[in-house]
Amino acid sequence: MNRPEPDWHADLSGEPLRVKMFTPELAARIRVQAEAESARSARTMNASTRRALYIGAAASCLAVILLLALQQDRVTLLEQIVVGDSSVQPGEPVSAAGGGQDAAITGMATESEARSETGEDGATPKESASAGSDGAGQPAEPGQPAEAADPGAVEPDATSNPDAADEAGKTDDAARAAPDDSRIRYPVGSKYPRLMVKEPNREDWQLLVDLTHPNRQYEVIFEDFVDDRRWLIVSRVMTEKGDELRGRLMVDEMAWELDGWQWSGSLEFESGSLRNSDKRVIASWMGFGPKESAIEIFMGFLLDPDIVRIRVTDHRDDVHEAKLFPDARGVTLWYARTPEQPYHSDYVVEGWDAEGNMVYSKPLKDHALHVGHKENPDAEAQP
Amino acid sequence: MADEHWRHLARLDTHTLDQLMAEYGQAVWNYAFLLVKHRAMADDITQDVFLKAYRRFGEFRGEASVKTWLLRITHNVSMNYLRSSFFRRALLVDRIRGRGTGASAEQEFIDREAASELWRQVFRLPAKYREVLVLQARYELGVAEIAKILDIPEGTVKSRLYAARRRLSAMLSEEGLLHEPT
Repeated sequence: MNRPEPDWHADLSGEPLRVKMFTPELAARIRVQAEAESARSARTMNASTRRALYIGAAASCLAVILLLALQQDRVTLLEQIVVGDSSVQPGEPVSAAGGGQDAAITGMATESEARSETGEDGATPKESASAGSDGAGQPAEPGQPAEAADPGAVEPDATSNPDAADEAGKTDDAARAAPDDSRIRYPVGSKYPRLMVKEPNREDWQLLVDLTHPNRQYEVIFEDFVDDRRWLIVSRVMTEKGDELRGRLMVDEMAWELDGWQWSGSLEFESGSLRNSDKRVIASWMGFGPKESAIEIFMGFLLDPDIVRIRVTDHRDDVHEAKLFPDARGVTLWYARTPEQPYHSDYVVEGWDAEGNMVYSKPLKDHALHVGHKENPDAEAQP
Repeated sequence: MADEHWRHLARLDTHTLDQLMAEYGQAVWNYAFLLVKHRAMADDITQDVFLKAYRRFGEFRGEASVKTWLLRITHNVSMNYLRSSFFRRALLVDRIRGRGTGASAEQEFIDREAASELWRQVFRLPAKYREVLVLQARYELGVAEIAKILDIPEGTVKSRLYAARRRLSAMLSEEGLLHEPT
């Protein structure tokens, strides 16, 4: 570090780009997202608080019931000793909440008689357990049927169940986001739509692509079957501005998730200006999957009308024939892929004319987005 | 805004988030773009970085500057993006330096909008060299801070810096842009 800095070093102290790319729109997008997160966490907090309150209330009720049961045992025992009434069996539900022990004993002595009548009326043990008291230490009138003391406090109904309320909230969210189309549903907790069609057609895939990438208007041009659990959906957007024509190609990986197809990844390539280009073939190379079992995607634009066929060869001379998709604007889109295989860093894109001559050849070498970082697949931002 | 101000904040609200973005938004975006060379991805990374900062500001203990803290998050988020299957490799084959035709949109953007030829060459450096060089020259960080951001030993930072300088000098020389001292 003691070496003198090169001449150019100081020139790097300025901004790398002439334009400011952190725009007010991007800042607004982040702010909106932050606000939404705050609101969501506030809702979660409320639900947690409610849940804690309910748990607290339920625990209190259980404690009271337990206390009653304990007291009842003592009362029954005392009863048997003091009153000598052998008709009440130890353990039979008899209540004596609140009040002093004397009152409870007195009450219970009377109540125990009433209880046996109430019991015959068919009161359930649970009802019986809290019967005979108004909750303020007053024993119920003898002979009156015992009523359950606010069963709701012990067993909240569904509308006050915090879990149920949470679930309802989620369902509401999902219902709000879902379009009016039975083919689509939004799984709880996922922002991506799921296509509930086992064997989708072009229209179904288009719907899924549209909903997965709202406002982007990709047109599906090809569905590439990989295996039972995976399709690659190729789509395009062509934009024309004056003399300039640009194209974007996208490959969406759609995976089977439990009961439908759902987005799991995208590759996108955007061309520069296609008109007046001196290029014959524009190619991009990207990949899905880990190095041990990668699917390599090659796609781009064919600008030379003499080329009628494009193929990609690998280091073993395996040929991956490209699909061609002529566009009304005079360019042809092409797409090829390898099967799942260990990753290789050398491919050649070839262009062939109608006579069967190879008239274009371009080696592809992987040297672009390999960044120097430690291999740590679980690395998360650890501020 | 002074670093001191941020050190005393326990958490961010949307107002302070706005301040943070106003101060560091461009730096974060530029760093992300220098790593991934993809505008839409740099947008997404920047969004993730500020949302993480918003959620976890309490974890900023003021040991480093806010800038270093944010750059570290940016590095980690960018690496996660690059490691994800869809961006693991993206080779834009028809890069033609200095010409727009046939180049990828991103390369075109760099060719068009890079602040100078020097920066254009920096964008051509392999990412691991580009990153250390930019952190040192543009963000004015020391070796220890760079090592912390990249989570690599200081010795590695030094050797990368040395290699980056040598490589960039060679590229500039090739392009006739290096003025050798006479």
